[in-house]
Parts: sequence; C-alpha cells; structure tokens
Amino acid sequence: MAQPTRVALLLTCLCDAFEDGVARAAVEVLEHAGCEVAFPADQTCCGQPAYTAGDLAAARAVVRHALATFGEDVPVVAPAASCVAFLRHAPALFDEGSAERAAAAALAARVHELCEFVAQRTGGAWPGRLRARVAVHRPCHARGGGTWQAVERLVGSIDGVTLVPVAESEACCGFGGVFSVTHPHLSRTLGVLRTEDLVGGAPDVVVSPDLSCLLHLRGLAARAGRPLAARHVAELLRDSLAGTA
Amino acid sequence: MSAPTADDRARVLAAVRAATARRRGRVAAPVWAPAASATGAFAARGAEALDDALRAAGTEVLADALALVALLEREGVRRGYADPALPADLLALLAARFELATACPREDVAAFEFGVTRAAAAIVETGSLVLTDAVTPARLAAVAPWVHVAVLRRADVYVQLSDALDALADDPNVVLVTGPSRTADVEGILVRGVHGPGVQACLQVP
Amino acid sequence: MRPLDVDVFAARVAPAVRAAVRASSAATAAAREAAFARDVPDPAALRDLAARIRAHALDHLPELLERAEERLTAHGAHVHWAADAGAARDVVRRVFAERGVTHVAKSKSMATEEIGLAAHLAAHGITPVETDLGEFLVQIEGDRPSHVVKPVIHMDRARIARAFERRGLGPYDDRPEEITRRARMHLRGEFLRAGGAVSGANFLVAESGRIVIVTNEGNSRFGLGAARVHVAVVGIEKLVPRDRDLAVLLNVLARSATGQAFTSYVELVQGPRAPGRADGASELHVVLLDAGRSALLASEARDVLRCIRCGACMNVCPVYRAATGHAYPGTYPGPLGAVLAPHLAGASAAATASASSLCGACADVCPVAIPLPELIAAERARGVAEGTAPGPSLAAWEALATRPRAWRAALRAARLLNAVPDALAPHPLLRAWLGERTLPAWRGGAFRDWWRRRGDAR
Ligand code: SF4
Repeated sequence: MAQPTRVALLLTCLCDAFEDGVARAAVEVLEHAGCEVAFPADQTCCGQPAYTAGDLAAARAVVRHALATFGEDVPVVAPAASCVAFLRHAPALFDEGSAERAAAAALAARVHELCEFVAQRTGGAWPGRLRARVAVHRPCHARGGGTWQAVERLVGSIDGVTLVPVAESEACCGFGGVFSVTHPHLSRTLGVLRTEDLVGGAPDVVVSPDLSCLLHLRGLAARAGRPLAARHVAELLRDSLAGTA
Repeated sequence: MSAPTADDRARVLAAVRAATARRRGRVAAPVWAPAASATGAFAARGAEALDDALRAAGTEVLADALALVALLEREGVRRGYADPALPADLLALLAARFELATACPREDVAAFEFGVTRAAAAIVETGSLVLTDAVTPARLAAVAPWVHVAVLRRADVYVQLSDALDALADDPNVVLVTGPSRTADVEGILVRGVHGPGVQACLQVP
Repeated sequence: MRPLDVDVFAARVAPAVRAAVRASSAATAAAREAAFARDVPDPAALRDLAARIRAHALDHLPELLERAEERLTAHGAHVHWAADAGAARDVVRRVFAERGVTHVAKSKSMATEEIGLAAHLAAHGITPVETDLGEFLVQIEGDRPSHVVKPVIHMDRARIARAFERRGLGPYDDRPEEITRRARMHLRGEFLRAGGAVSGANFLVAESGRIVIVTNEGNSRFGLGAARVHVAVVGIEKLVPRDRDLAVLLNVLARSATGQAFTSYVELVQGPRAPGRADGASELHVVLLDAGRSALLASEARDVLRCIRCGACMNVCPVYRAATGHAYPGTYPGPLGAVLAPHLAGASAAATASASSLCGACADVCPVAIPLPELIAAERARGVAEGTAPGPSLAAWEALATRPRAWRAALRAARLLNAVPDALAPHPLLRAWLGERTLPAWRGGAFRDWWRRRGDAR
C-alpha cells in the first residue's frame, strides 16, 4: 500500500454547528481513498458570509485567520463546493503584490472540493454498492463543470445507483446567504422551484456537494410538511461502502 | 450648436481622458484572422453555399425571372415598384403582368405591394443581402411593401461577414437584410412582416 | 429591517406573469445555447475576442470618440455632446423644435428610455411614437419595459389584445398574426406622418463614423427612410474601432439576444442622405451621451461598460425570472441593472445589488465576459462602505470567526437554542427565516468531540 497522502480537513462552519455527520463521512471517504486526515482545531469559517454581505473588511479578517490555520503545505479538502469556490476567489480581496495575496493564492491552489479530490485519486470510480435512484443538485459554486462532474462520476459509478436527470440542472436553490434574509420571498420561491425540478424524476434521494443548499431546501420542505430526502454526497459515498463490506 | 453643448464636449472628453489615463496596462487592439470570427456552416463551403445560406435565413431564392413572377402571383400582389436600372427584359416582363412603377414616392408608399430593387452584395456566412444607398436608393420600396425582391449579380458575393465589412465604401446608409421582417413580441411566437416585408426574396442574375 | 423592494415586488407578481417570464426566458436561454453550439466552433474563444474588442475600445475611448466625431462630421452629420440626461433631452428637443418637427418615430433604444426622452418630447409638444411592437405596447399601456430585448416579456396575448382594443385598433383579437398586422397598418401611418426619427445605437464605429442599429422588425429602416431629421442618442461606451469588429460583435449579439444566427436588419448609418436622393433623412444628429458613463469608467465597475445589451444575463437569472423586470428600479433590470443602474441613476448601490444570490449564471452566458457576480458583490461592498447596505451586521460573527476559542465556546453554547421555540428566536429576521424553514438541531462541537475520542481510541 502506498504511503497515505496527508490532507487537512476544512470542516466548514455549517458542519461545525449542525452536521457533524457530514464531516465524519467526509473523513471516512478521504481515508478510504488513501488519505491521512489532519484536523487543524483552530479553524472557524472561510469568510464567505461576509463577502456575500459586502463586508470586505470582515471577510479579509476571517480569510487571514484561515490562512494562519491552514498554513501547513498539504492539500486542504472541504465537503463544501461553496467554501472552496470562495477561497479560490479570496486572493482578489487583497492588494496586488501584497504578501497576503500571495499567501491566499498559495492556499487557493491547494484547496479542493471533496469529490473533485477523491475522483482525481480514484480515477472517478467509487467502489460502493447501493440500490438507489439519485438526483444530483448542482450547487452554483460548482458551476462550469469540475465539481459536479466529479460528483456525478463518483455517484454514478456506485454499483446499483441510477442517476436521475434534473430539469434546469444548474438552477440556483435560492439560498444565497444573506440574500435569504433580505429577500425571503424570492429565496423561498427559488427553493420551491428547485425542489420541484429535483424531485421531478422521482429519485430516492437528492445529493449535493454543498450543505448550505441542502439545509435551505430541506428546511423549506420540512416546514411545508413535505420532507425532502436529501443528503450530502459524502454521506452517500460513505454509506455505499457498507454495502460492500 | 449652442454654448452648453460645447462645454459638454470638453467636460465629457476630459472625464473620459482622466478615467482611461488612470489605467495601468491598457488592453491592446485584438488582432484576429478572419476565420476566428466565422460562424455557421455556410462560410466554410464558400460562395456556392449562398443559396442555402439565404434560405436558412428565411430569404426565398428565385432561380429566374419566371420564378419571380410566380412568387408575386402566389402572394397575390399586383402593384409594385421596380428599379429602372434593372435589366430591360426583366422590367418588361414585370410590366406586362403587374401594375409597375419605377418610382416609389413617400406619399404613396402604402399602395405598393411589392418592390424589386438591386442589392449591392450578399454575404454567405450570415445569408444577408447588402443594400446600399448607392445601389438601392429607393429605401422605402425595399422595406414598406409586403414582398421585397433583391436582384443580385452573382459576382457580388462575400463569403464572410468580416470580408463584407472590410469592403464597405462610404455610404450614408447600408443595411444588411437577413430574412424577412419579424417579431416574437407576442408570447414569443414568431410572426413575419411587422414593418418590413413578410416575404423577402433574392433573384440572382449573371 | 424589512424585506427589500425587489422582494416585496416579487411577492406580488401575478402567477401568470411569472410563468410567462419564466417560459419566455427559458426558451430564449435554450435557443442561445443551441445557437452557439450549432454555429460557433469555439464559443469561449469568440467570447474572449468579443470581450477584448470591447475592453480595448473602453481603454481607448477618448481617441475613438474624437475619431468618430470627425468622421461623422466629415460625412455631414452634426455631433452633439451631452454630459447628463437633461442636456441630452434638451438637444434632441431643440433639434426637432427648431425644424418644426411635431411627430417623431422612435425605434427601440435603452438610452432614450434611460433619459426619459419620450416624456420630455411629449411635454414640449412633440409627439413621440414608439414603433417597435413591444415598445409601442409599453407606450399605449403607460407601462415600462421589463427586459432590455423583450420589453413586453411580462404581457400575455390577452393583455396585448385588450390594449389594442382600448387604443381603437379594432375589436378584441388575440391572435399574434392579427395583432402584428394591425400594428403594421397603424404604425405605417405614423411613419409617414413623422418628420423626425429617434434611434439609439448598438455600436458606433470610430474609423468610419457608422452608427449601427439592429432590429428584427425593420422599424428603424422604415423610420429613418421616411423622416427628414434623424437624431441618434448614443452612449459614449458604444464605440468600437473598426467596421470589421462588428463581425464579431453582431454574431455574438444576435445569438445571445434571441438565439437567431443574425438579426434581420443591421443598419449602418454614416450621414444624411446624398443630395438628390428621395429617401432618408436630410439631417443626421448624433448625441453622444455621458450621463454617468465617464464616472463609471473611472470606477471599479468599469467592465460593465462592455455590455452589448443582449439580455442573456436576465434570461438565466433566477432572481430576475422570479421577480420579473419591473421589480428593479431604473431602466436596466437583472444582473446588468444590479451593477449599472446605481451608477447611471445614482440610486442606492446596495439595494439592487443585494437582490442576487450570486449564483453566477449570468457570468456564464455574458457574451463579453463581464464578471457580473463579482461586480454585484463589489456594489454591495460599496454599499457597506458607504453605510447604505441593507443587510444585518456581521461584527459579532467576525469577532468569533477570528478567535478560535470563542468560536468553539459559542458553537457549543448555541446548542441551548435547541430549547428555544422558533417563535422566540432572538431576532426578528431569524424568526422570519425560521417561519419558512426548519433548522436542524444545533450540534455545535459534536464533530470536534468525535475527532478527539477517535484520536484517543487510536
Ligand atoms: S451584461 Fe452581458 S449578458 Fe447582460 S446584457 Fe450585457 S452583454 Fe448581455
């Protein structure tokens, strides 16, 4: 067996507060893919909430903290497409030529969404077994390919899984961070529209590489009395391994 | 013009100058080979694809003068304009079957049901007819009637849009006509013939 | 704090209107995608080229403006400069008034919409008639356009038919062919009555002085051919260096706007008609309009000036499609408007910029590669910096997120919230948010506990 690759887990604030199960699944998926996972305990949040709210000073402060926390030169892997997308954008928050910009660029170059990272290591295959019809929600921060292709390749390669097509496959779920607070009607409307498309093909479960979309969609559906079977893709990957045990 | 406008000129230009002067690296003029702007399948096939390109754009292609007569009869139009500079035999043929005028004054334009004019050129890439004031001075005769027929000399064909634009001579007014007049303003449903012709055609002559 | 205007409007949009806008925008978005896939060998390269042509033009605007002015003047056109909307309105009115023009045929133009030209002319005894079918409907309904390409995307055929009936254009008939035929007949009379024509411009070419006007209906062709005096109102950002640049821009414009391969009428106007000709205006006046554009050029949002007004960004915007165009203040809705409107209208930056989930769909389709989500985020940041941002403060969150011990303690303490009924949530916004959604239980620190136990067990 080859030497395991050391990676640092970016837990994400939502997993920290609500969904430890997703983070545990991410750890197990990474380990199954031959990684040794480190967890820098001082981590908090990536800073995206402040960026989307327009508070650049706060966003910079939190990114600085992340730069210090993830200083070790190993791949940083997050079960969250949106945190990854934000950290890749973060260098633009700092002045050109500054040391912080260079540090942010260095982190941006080694931060990876979980499925992209795993798919690259496994050649897109995932050795699980699970009989399920699965619809993939493509989060906006996975736009343009990379992440959702990796998600669909991994999930699609699970023995027994059927991928269910989704109409308007790249439509936004309507969460948008502070947008859901300042524009509650629109946020809910978009969430309802998105859910209709996601369940249109009668899947057993909806998966997404982004927890924020899921919390929003599940929360809306539950409040409306029609619970939505939706899980983070890390949980699906991890559970599918049990089928092979 | 009056004084405020002259002031505005200086103000606007000064503001624009200040804004661009502050730029560090200004974007250089892009240089591109004509092929880089080529779109669609027709340009690659060259001039012989013109008929297909015109048809794809919604322009009817007429093989000869008799086809032109047949088109006008099909559309049930009687009164029309023809450019007096068109070949005499074509004019004679039209005059024998239709109420033909060789002028299309603004006041009477509503009475004209068809217009036959010349076209300066055609473009294969886009399936466009090029009408210029130099060759088609009767602008209203080419736009107001229900049927417009542009008579094109086979030699006057550009393959790419960029070729045609490169070759444009000074002219007060040039229009690239690509198919009939159309709208989709009512529920996205395509309807032909809003203000311009509902039927656009091209007759090619040697 | 209460929901913002765009949201308030959205909550009142009639379901039928929303459905119409969603269907039409989806159809156009699909047609756009199909057109590029079918016709363009390398869409990314063409878009990059289009973006560079526009970026280069903006970086060389002073030279290009002067060159265009010189060429237009050499061809016998009159060039006017207008620093603001008021100056532009005055110039246009004066040109017509001094020549005794009482009726003008207008073609579709966002710039004239932006400066409120039609109302200004009407107030001074000059009757403007919109001749684009969509704009005509907007005019007779006393409405405003809700999309930069499809002004009446929000009207269904029944509303259109009723509007025609009220206007005395025949008994109710909602067939699109009949509506179009009646518009043709009616507006024909208006074209012939009008002594003046007003247009905007899609582009202005510096090397030739050609104004480019693009229509599918042929209304500008008719209007310019029939009028004595043509006034074109042209934003100073519309410059491109050479005629051949149009080969790129017209190709991407048509496909992005409607999914057509090419627009029906592309008119290139260089000057008044030659002496002895019967058709065409004998005077051409070009009004070069600033109205906030030079300030925008000096700002961080300058890239939005590349815009060619194709409307593709609104067709894919989830917020635009649910809220519809009238939800936005100003002339330009959607992602484009979120960046452009505050600079042109001087409205609060943050209010419209906040009406976005920053999903990024607009950036994917913009034919000139404007980084719209980043510019929208920058507008928000400007709002925060200027103290006009509508969102909740993030100060407390920032304090925690930069102090790991406090962060951990706070997340653990938040578990106490599980005992608080949603109705007693400690902030009205949170209460409203929870009214629509359930949150999962707070489990702050649970992963960290698991991680520690796991480490101990090994
Ligand atoms: S911003 Fe881009 S996509 Fe939107 S209208 Fe302008 S050019 Fe089109």
